[in-house]
Amino acid sequence: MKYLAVVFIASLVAFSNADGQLKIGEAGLEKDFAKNFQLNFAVPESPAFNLIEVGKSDILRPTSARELAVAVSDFTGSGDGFTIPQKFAVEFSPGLLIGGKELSLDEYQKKPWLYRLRISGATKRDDGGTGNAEMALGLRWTLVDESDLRTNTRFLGDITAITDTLTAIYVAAAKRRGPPIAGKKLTLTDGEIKTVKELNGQLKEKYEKIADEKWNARIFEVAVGTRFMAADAMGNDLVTEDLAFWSIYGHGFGNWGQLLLGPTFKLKEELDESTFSLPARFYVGSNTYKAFAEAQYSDDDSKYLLSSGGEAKLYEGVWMKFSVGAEQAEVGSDRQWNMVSKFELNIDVASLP
Amino acid sequence: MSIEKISYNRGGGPIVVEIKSGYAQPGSYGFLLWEANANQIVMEKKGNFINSDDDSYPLPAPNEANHERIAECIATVAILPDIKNYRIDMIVSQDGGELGRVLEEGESDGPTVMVDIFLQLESA
Repeated sequence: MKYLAVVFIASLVAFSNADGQLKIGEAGLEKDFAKNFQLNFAVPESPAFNLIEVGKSDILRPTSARELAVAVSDFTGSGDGFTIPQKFAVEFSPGLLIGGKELSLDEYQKKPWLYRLRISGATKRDDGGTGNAEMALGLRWTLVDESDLRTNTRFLGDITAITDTLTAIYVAAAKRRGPPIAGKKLTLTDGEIKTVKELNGQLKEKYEKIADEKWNARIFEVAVGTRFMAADAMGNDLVTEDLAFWSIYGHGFGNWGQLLLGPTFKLKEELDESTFSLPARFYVGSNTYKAFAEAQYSDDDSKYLLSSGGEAKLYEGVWMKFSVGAEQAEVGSDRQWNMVSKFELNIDVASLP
Repeated sequence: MSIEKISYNRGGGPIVVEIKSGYAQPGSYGFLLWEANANQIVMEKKGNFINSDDDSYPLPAPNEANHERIAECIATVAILPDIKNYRIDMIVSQDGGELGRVLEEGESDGPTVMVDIFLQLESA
């Protein structure tokens, strides 16, 4: 599976006692413990996972296509001990997965929409395995992705100029070696080794620079997903519960900010009720450190969500995220605000050195 | 390790060698055609993977002169940050049909990887 470049992102969300849900209502402050550990899948978040996740925000974080991505969530059981993950999702790009090995750069550039199309599937089981199983399927299409390096002509030209120079060095070494027979290897001179290191260093700087410049590049995605509920824990007698349509547009400001707008339309309760929500999130910062503020309105009982937080890259492949917010919910005939805080540690195993 | 040998039809059409980079990774290559049993380069080409239309090279005629010549591809693949995989194929064809290929594939933490693949032609 290594050749599929699996991106496995695991994050640990720790709720301290003080960070449990606080209900602010006429009855005063009440404390309710949320789950102590929740493994949240932050980037990328597939449509199918969004449907089974009991999340507060409807926003689908847009991202460039990966061949295969896996998400797991909810590692705690009824006794607050670790157990088999209750939620599992996989998202893959059929184009990249099936044709990636021999996919040339210009073939990709001719039909980037094909390789950015992603299919996702997710399952959810109740704690103890006795509740109804849930399953979801999703389809996501990135129509515009200005952060996609494979369609950035200027960047590719800069990279290729460096690889041209590197190749010339290796070809010169091959000519010194003679025909490639009897185990003869290429040997570089000390000067060539130094030049190769410098050129690779320049390339690495270009990758870091483009990541800083393009983290908030313009992106537009549409997605559709459907959730099924089974009559039992074994997944029998599936019934369609929800059907959802997302769109998400990301617009960058300089290299310091990004606004995400993600109108969502859902058919719920066995497709009997419809809801519309409009989440908006604004990021400020850089690729490595950023803060965000989010607001969401849903016409499902006129709910509001407000939250803010931040994320930071601690180490190559290791990201920290935190947020604090409040969601309005109905309790009987009253409307109450629930405060929620979250701390996440995201680990992208494929990026780990 | 013995060298990969690929047979061709001396009476057929031109032998064509194509260089390809997979996983949509950019980079550059040099192609060398070594004379049989000699330290002499018969043909040398260079290119990159931005446009794959110009990465096919017909070998010098007549076909029988290519017997035991060695085709070598030395490529530098740029490993773009989001996909660590790379693959370089050198494909030999004749009369529209593939005769054989050598390839190298793997993963790299980048930023580049050097690939050196070669094969020997045999007249059938």
